[in-house]
Amino acid sequence: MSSSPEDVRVSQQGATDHAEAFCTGCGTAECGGCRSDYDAPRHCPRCGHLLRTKVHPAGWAAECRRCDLEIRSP
Amino acid sequence: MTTSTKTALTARELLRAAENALLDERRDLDAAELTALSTLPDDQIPALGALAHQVRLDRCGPAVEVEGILSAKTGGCPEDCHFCSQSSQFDESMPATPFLDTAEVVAAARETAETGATEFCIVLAIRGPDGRTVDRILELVPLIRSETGLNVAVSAGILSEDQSERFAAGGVHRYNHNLETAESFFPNIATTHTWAERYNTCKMVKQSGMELCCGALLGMGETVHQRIELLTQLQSLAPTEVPLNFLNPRPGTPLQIRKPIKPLEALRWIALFRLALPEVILRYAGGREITLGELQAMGMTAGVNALIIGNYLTTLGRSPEEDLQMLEDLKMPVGALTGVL
Repeated sequence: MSSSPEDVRVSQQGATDHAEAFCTGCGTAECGGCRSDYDAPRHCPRCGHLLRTKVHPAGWAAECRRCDLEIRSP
Repeated sequence: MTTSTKTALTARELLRAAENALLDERRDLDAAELTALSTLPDDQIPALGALAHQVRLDRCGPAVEVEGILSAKTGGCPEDCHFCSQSSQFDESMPATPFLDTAEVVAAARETAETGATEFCIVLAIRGPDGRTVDRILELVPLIRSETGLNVAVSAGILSEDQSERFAAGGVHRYNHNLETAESFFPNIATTHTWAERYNTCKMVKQSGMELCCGALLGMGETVHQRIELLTQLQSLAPTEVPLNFLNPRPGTPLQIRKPIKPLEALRWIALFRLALPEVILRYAGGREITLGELQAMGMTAGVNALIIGNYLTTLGRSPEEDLQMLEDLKMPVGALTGVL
């Protein structure tokens, strides 16, 4: 089942509205959050898989093809 | 006389000689002169930047050209550029996304236009375009132009002569193809194509009548001598625009272990790029946020007269509001530089 963008919101700075199981920067479960302010999410916060990310001038959108999650900038 | 006084006098003499050459004799600096300026001590970098700013105002005027860029086809690139997260050649390659829908590209152009920008660049992570890709781009260019009024630039890799002619005839106003680095350093950066292939595409773009945008990426391990070599190679191409990138080491790439260059070093090279290329549109591009941090305004008074606003191809920029406020604070008007220089 696909999550709507409202299910998991990741801010431009990297914080999420709900607990992340995996770091969106490095994709590990152990990391406290290494993604910088200037990186779009690279890994799925739910499963750690590499995301397919589209960056546009005013934001970004990303999808995980493993767990069917979609997230986007606010 | 102390050693530091001697150094300061030498620095003043070097700066005066460069000022005479650029503002009075109105000639370009050669490799020897640029090399001498590159050795100025750190405490002379503000003076070097001040000269570069004077040269920029004299040759280009006060306007700053603002541009938005969009990665319209991301990842899956067959080339092995060691700095790039979009190569498919590395272990942890970025998953590829297909060419964006027309609506997505036009929406991104609208986002750019809303900032007051005058330029929008469609970028594709490919070695070079096939016929279908050229057709797609040529559909998008007039559409974006008519929907937003923006000048449309394209970056789609190595071109054939026929493709270059088609882009020029189809309204592509400027074509981006970066040299990235000096010819002598290039084999350390990419092995799937040559520096000469890049250089030839750049020449072809100009011959076809498009403006050439040809950028550099600093901080990949090149020497000072190789940076000067690159500047002389850019002088020989005489591009309309030079986007100046600073390495933002990307995870999973061979250059991930490198450290970003230091802020003062970046300011030194911004100034040297302006002094080497006095009439060029010198654009702040990728990596400026992590390299310069709070010192980004200093680049605007050290030779930069254009910037990419908003996000980059795969990384994020600072907010457009921050950049526009910076320009307002500096009393630098936003405007197109095409046809002005």
